Amino acid sequence: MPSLKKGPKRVRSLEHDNLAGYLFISPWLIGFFGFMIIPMIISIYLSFTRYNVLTPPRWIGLQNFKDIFYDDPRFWQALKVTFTYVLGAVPLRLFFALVLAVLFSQKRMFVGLYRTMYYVPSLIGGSVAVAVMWRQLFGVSGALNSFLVKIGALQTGFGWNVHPKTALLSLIVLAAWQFGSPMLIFLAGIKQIPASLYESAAIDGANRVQAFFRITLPQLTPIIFFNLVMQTINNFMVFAQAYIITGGQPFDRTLVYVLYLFRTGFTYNKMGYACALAWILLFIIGVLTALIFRSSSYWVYYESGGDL
Amino acid sequence: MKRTLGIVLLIALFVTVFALSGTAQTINLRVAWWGNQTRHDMTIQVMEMFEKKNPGIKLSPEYTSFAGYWDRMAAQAAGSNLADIMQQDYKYITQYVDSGLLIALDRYIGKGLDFSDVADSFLAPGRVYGQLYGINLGANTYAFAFDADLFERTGVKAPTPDWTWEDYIATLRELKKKTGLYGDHEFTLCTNNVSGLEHYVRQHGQAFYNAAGTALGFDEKLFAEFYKMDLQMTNEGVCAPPEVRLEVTSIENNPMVMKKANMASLWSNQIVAYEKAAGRPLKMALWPKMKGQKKEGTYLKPSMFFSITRDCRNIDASLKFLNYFINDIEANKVLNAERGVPISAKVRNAMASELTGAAKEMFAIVDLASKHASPIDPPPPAAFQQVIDTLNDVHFKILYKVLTPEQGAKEFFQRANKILADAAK
Repeated sequence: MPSLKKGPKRVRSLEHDNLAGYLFISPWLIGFFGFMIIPMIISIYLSFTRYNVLTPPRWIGLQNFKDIFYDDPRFWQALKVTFTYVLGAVPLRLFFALVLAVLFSQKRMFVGLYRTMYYVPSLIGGSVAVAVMWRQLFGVSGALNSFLVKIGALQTGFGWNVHPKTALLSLIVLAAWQFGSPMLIFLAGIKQIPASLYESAAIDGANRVQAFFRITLPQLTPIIFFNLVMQTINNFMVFAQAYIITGGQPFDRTLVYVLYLFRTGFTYNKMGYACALAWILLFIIGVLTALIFRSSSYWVYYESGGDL
Repeated sequence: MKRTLGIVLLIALFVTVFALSGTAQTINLRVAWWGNQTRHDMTIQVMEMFEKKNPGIKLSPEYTSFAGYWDRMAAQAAGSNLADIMQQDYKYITQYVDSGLLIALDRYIGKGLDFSDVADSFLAPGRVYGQLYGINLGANTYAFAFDADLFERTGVKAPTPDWTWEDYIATLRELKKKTGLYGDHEFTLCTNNVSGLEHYVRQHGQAFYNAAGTALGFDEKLFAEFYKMDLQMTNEGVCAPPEVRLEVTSIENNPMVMKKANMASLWSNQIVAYEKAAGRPLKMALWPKMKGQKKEGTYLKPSMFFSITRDCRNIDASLKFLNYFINDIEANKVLNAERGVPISAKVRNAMASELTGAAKEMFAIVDLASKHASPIDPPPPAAFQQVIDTLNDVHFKILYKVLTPEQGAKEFFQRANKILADAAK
């Protein structure tokens, strides 16, 4: 009998423990459910409706998806722009991040200061201020043009941000410039490489270039892999820069996917259509990430033998 | 026991925090508008004057540029969190009324809203389906602005109310020759705007949209004709090249304000902000007429409205503020008719005697326009923003010579008509 009595009491006190636990993480839970899970579920529903935000949604089945794939040239334009952007921005950003990480991993004067300085652009990276600055810098009467005109390379100012040939390039350069966070991750990775590898390489007579390609690079492949995945995902979701600097101009040459999604939802008030666009983007990013994961077995080197 | 106590205390803490944030001694009202720095400053000043007179009411401003404003309002509407009082526009008001987001104000007239000095013709454009949803904040018209001494200084013949497109083009060319600056950075209004083309279409006795709003309402060839003029002027360097146009994002960096162009197109109420940004006296002229035009292209438009929204927390206090905004003479002296010529006759009379500079110019041009105008077209269909984006897209394809004006016309008609038809489904 006493054991029976003890049982339920114990369970109850356990429940109390759980309650306290939930209460303590409630700020996060509220955020997670309120701003992530519930909106996501609602957006699945909305993607099957016609919803102009101002009046209640109307169920239309798969019509939004049909329209997007068969009847929306701007969707394909946005995809084209975004893929171009990602294919340009991600390799460039990773390249700069890696080169500078290798430079900053050496013990030199003021290396800490430089590291900080090169990280700063990423700290303020996604911010509106940088985008506004970029607009000024590359504007018709901006700093770059003043310089080019002064040295005689140009007759008059050129609209780098808005010319159909260069507008997207200007966004890609901005992305490449913000290489700080992958750089930090590379730095941490380089520090992990055992010094003994370099020592024995030096004894065998390997020079620095050989050491880089034979030791640093292979040892870093897991980090490169990680950065590649993260940066691909991030860059697919680029928005603020395009919104502020070019607004998709001229004639949709810089209409990145999320900008089109935003326009559709908030400017044209086609929220159901925008939700459908969002889920298609999620699907695309998912597939690409899976492909990168698949490819990793061919080029990523794990000391432990490669079991993921 | 201890644990239970702890949890109880924790809950008590949460409750207190929520309760505290909810207690309010005063009535809080949110007022949302779009505009420029001049409008923001003046509106906030009037809000502070109102608060001083009404200690129980606290007003918080929410202001942005025009483009950002509607994104923001749509998001607020979706969250049932619209500002108590919102600035509305002729293009948007029907859509908001259709969605049940605004409150009809007729029953408050005489009970909270004093319109004894307001002529009904001023209230008419704010009626949707016979009910008053928007209080007109001023009368407005399209016009050109330029330095007050421009035509004396350059010796170019000053525009008259009856000048034609041919005169306009000749004037732009001469101004360019005399000053070396762009005649105008735009050709009337084209970038992100249908107004220039609409003006031309109206002069042909046609309308931009058909009556049902399900398709465009004018001949394709008018499109090609209009943008051919624009392209010609751009090629000659009389109007600015596309990259310069694309970089104009505010009144503050408008080429006329920055002394890179001689003229600029604007809404007449914007003259106050333009003059402040330019820091020198400006004058205005009406947009050109067309030889043998079927009707006047110019029209008078309510510059904007104030509306009370469905989410309003205190209608009485909101009415009090609107009443103050419309009828108070001191408030309107601060506002300086920046939103357009005031609708209250009492306010207009009080202001007329001491009008100076830009405001005086604005009263004059609205008065002049009323003699050279035909009635405004009905509000555009809900998909108008997509149509404007499409127009802008095609316009820049023409300026960057990706399309000829004729090809542009074809593309625009095809795409815009599809958008309008789809939206009507």
